[in-house]
Amino acid sequence: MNSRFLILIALLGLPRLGYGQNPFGLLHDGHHIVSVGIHANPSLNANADYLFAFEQKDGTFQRFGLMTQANFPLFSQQGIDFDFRIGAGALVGIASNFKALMLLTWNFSRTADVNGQYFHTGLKIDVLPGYYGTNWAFAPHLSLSYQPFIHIEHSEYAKQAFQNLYPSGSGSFTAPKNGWFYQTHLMIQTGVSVAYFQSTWSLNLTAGFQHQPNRFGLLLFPDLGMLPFYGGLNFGYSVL
Amino acid sequence: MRHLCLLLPLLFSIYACESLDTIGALVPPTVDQDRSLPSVAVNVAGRQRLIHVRTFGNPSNPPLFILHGSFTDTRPYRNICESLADKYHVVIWDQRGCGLSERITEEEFTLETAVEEINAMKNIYAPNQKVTLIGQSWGGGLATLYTSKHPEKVAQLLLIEPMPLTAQDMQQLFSTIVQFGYDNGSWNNFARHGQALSPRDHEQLDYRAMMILRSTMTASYHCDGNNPPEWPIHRVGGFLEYVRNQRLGNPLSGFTYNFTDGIQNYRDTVRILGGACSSLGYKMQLQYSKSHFPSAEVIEIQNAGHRMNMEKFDDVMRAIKSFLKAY
Repeated sequence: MNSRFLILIALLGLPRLGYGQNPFGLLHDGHHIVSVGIHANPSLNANADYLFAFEQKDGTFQRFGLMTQANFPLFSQQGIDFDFRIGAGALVGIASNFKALMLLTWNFSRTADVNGQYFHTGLKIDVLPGYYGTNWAFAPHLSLSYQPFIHIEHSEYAKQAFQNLYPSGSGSFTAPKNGWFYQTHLMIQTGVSVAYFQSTWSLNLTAGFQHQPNRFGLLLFPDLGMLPFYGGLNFGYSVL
Repeated sequence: MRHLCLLLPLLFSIYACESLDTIGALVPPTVDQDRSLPSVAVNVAGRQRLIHVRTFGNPSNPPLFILHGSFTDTRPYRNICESLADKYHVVIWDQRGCGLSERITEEEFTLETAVEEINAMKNIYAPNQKVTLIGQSWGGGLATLYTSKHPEKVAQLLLIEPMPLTAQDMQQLFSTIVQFGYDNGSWNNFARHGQALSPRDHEQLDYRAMMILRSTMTASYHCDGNNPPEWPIHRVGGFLEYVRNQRLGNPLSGFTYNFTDGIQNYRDTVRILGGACSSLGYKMQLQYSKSHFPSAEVIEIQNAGHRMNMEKFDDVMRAIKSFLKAY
């Protein structure tokens, strides 16, 4: 096992802070790319990523990479939340400078608020098909996040909602349910991404609209933190 | 075979999980989901819906309705109900879409149907009598609206920190009432909640809406905004709150309501209670709400905010009972 492989394993083990994505490291010349960024979706997060990029090739599948990301929520109220992601990305050549960056990540996340603690896991796929020039890239950003599994541990506050429910003092429902659940949790993002890159570093900005499908067709409900926008800024640097 | 072994734990996990849509997983059931909860059926907006209702006192006493606020249900008002039960027949219900009452569709809620709902309850509990109304916050606005439309049906009107009674008042006061901002930790928590639980259906939205009662977005309502007084609820009707916001308007496109159109026909004195600490408190009520009524008096509750019946119950009840004719 060579030292490079050990470094790769160690860096992939880093926690990832935030919900951003930075496959733009695949445009660097280097193999070990770290990046930091800040994202709003619409909650505010900082993120740190590590990307290991394999050798560049000609043809359709021009480069593969493995990445890990740790997201760290800003202004958190209830303890330490985390969002740790591992995944793989690819740069796909379609025609000349028309290429697509693709990223598939799997997250393990802990979120807590006054209602309870949630551990949830799922997948996110990002696709950025567009123009990839010598130093600039412009691409629409399309992503789909699916979080089917969640473990909920309700707080005392959530449990209190079930107290004194029945005038007789007894009934079928005495507390919310703790445990593992499945849910239809989808998040769709459509936006645009702009990146400037050199051989050893890159800067990219992504912004757009997001929507969580629901039976009401709700897009905007600021009282409950629902805004249909997301955005993020990432800086990546090749360390080796 | 190897692939099957990898798949089995996943399949078992899916089988072992319960759906998040299971009744009672996040929030208590509504009366249509658990028929052992007390309810009455009302016809409002062309639909029959079950209402969660509680009554206190002798039905032969004068009727008194208590109208609850927004982002809440009837539960925090039970101390007032019990205190008035010696002289009144107190009726309190979770307004359609709120608390343990049946959920409703967007089309079923307008300011007109909110008035229709009070009439429906009056037809059940006080068909031939005037009714005394006590309303808090949104309930205060609704009580004012009902009195404006039906002054002949109201015996007495007492408002506990009613929301701004006209669109103009709300437009001027909105920024002092609600604080949004990224540096506001509770708003960020609301937003992040969506990463874990999608607002896919009523239960998830209700669960999320419950957070607002402990948030700092309404810090100006309380004497200590970072530690709001307890306000126990069973369920906040998240979707109903959304619809209500739609009906009332917003600070960007403008508010569009007027609860006081017709209130000049109600000639009796209205009593308004305002806390010393709240942005909807004594000073606001004196400056904005009082002038809408032909006759009104504003009483200050010292060291109290918007949840005054939880903070200064004895003072609040003194202010209520010294106004009500049965005492």
